[in-house]
Amino acid sequence: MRKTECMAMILAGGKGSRLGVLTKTLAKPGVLFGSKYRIIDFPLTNCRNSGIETVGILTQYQPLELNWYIGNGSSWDLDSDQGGTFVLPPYMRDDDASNKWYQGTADAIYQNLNFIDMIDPDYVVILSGDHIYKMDYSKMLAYHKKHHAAATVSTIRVPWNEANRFGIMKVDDDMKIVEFQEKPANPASNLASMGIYIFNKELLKKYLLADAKLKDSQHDFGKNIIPAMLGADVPVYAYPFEGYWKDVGTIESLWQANMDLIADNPALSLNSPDWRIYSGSQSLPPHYVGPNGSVKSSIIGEGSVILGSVTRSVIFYGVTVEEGARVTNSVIMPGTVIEKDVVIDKAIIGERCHVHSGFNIQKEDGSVSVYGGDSNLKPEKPAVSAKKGAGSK
Amino acid sequence: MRSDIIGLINLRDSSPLREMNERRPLSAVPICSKFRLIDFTLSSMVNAGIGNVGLLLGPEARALMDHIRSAKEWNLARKQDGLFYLPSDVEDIIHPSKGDIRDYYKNLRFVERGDSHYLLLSSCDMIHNIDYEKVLHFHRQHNADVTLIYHKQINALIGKGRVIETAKNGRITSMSELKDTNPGDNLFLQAMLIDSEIFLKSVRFAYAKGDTSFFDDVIGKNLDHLRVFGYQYDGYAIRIDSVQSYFQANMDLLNVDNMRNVFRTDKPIYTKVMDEPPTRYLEGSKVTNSLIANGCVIEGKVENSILFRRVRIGRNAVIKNSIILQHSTIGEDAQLDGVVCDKNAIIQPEAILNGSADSPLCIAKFAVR
Repeated sequence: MRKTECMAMILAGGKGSRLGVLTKTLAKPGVLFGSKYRIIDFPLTNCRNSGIETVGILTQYQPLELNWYIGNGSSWDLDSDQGGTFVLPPYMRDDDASNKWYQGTADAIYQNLNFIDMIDPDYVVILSGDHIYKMDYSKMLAYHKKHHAAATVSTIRVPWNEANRFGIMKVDDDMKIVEFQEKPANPASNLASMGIYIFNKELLKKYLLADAKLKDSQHDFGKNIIPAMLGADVPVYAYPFEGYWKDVGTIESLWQANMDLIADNPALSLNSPDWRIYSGSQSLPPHYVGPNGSVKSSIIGEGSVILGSVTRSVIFYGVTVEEGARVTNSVIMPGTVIEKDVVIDKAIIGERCHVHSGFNIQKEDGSVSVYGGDSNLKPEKPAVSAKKGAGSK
Repeated sequence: MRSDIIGLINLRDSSPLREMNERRPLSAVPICSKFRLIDFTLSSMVNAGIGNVGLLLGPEARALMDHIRSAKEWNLARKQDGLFYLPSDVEDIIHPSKGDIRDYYKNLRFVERGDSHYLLLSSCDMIHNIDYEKVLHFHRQHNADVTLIYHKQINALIGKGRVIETAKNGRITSMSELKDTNPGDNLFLQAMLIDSEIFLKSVRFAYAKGDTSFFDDVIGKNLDHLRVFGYQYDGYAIRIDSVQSYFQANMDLLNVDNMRNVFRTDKPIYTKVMDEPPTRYLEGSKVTNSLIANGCVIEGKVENSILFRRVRIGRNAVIKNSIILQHSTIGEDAQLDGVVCDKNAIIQPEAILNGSADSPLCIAKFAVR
């Protein structure tokens, strides 16, 4: 087998607790997005489109649906004999002391150093499984090599008033990182870490082994590994990324990221033929808009049947919107049925839900309504006709 | 996967749609927004658990092979069995055979190595979703040698068709070829289940004798000797043999009943996965009674139409009763009615193009109008 220059490790074990019912039985990278995708499609597609053939996916929280979805990685062309997709859950081993869940991002990689040694690449890319963006990691790797860096952190300019939510970097004229602050109260810059790293493999190994021995470490790349490298004066560079990048941590931001797709010129284009986003496929027929249907400023997935009206919404595959139903500003996930005359505004409805006639979804305060998968939503009292006795004969 | 039936699909048995000005075989004609005609026959076989299918390719095989490739999408990329391409050889091209006996004879090895009890022999010019397991049940129940699948015509069909008549017990009493078929006729759907032994024996015998047509010479002339039965398929079915029937088939699937009959969640129609993004409807779009594939961007008005993948409909364009194949672009303010627009066509802004269901206006691949 030919030598692997660069492999990727995707951290996909997070719960995403602020996504509430949507991540009750599903890790955050598996959350559905944009009419046909799951969040993890973006890093997996980026790997494939960047020429990375070996991908390890570290799972922990509720992995069933995610494992099922990833399969052998063939949906992303990541099933080559020269590499492949490897799902890496925490595991038991000989010495009792280390039988534990992944303790942090760095610990998760540390526990899988045997896998990295097996592949034996020159470089390791560390990625989050829950970010939405299109990025060519091969460009970042070229940058890493050009600067003779030991580690490179991908960064993005964020609004100054949000800088205190991120890991913030201070860099010199050459983009070499001189200071790293995790969620600083008074940020010295607005250059934020995207949680994407490239390491020289041997150096990564050295720092992970050292960090594992530290009792008071949180075993986190941003909080421990990068500061330790900077402390030892190892060259760590910031790679400036430009473009759409979103960490959809909350219901509100997931809703917003979906709404970003329906603009006439969306910030994140899914339509570029030279950077297709790959995903698992469902063998569904085309979608159908009925004689009285209406669709405006929306995206619609395959196999959906739209007999009512849909405006400024993201409709996934296999959804039915019956006659007279009106869906606005909403995200409707796969297989959900919206019955006649239902009105839904600003909501995220999970997979395979059934919204019965008379159950309207609208909030006075303008916040996003959210219902988890398989909800059976019925009005409290069955919708009876105003005329007494109608239908009783 | 079952080993008692193998499938053999004859792609040489049909002629291309000449009006569409394209040499691709009929089996590879794009249809219903995202499919190719072969998808229906091949998926039905796979859904019946058949794991060994031979494709008897015609001389123009590029488009079809590009579509099927390893047959992974049909779950037929297997270590043993799976999909077999049975290509034409030099003789087939220089001296095309009259009828299909010689084609079967030269590929008997495929049936022999399949070593299965039954052979499902089908052409590839139909849209349907036949449950072949039911056909097998019928075949066994009647202790048949051959079971022909037919459909009671609802409408008259222009273009020749084979019509069969059956006795009360389902046994076929006569078969004939008609120029046009009428409502109520039992139209043979170009698919039959046959005992492999009988197939092998009769093809060898017929070839030695110089017969040409399996249907006419082997089955038609032996209705007394063979137990030939007819299985009636009640679902939606249509044969594509002209631009009119191509147009009709696409439009038929705008009917929700037909749609549900062909596109069943328990028996999906598989096709090549293209990873197109979801279709985007922009502010000015108005779409009614239409089937839309992924990857389109729609700004105009679309009515009673079929859009394939990655079609762009410009602002204020009006598309009615039309079929727009993949990657075509319709300019702003263009008006199309009764048009079949082949792949990658460009319709200029403000163009006005009209055809009808009886004679759709066909725009060629890569044409600029």
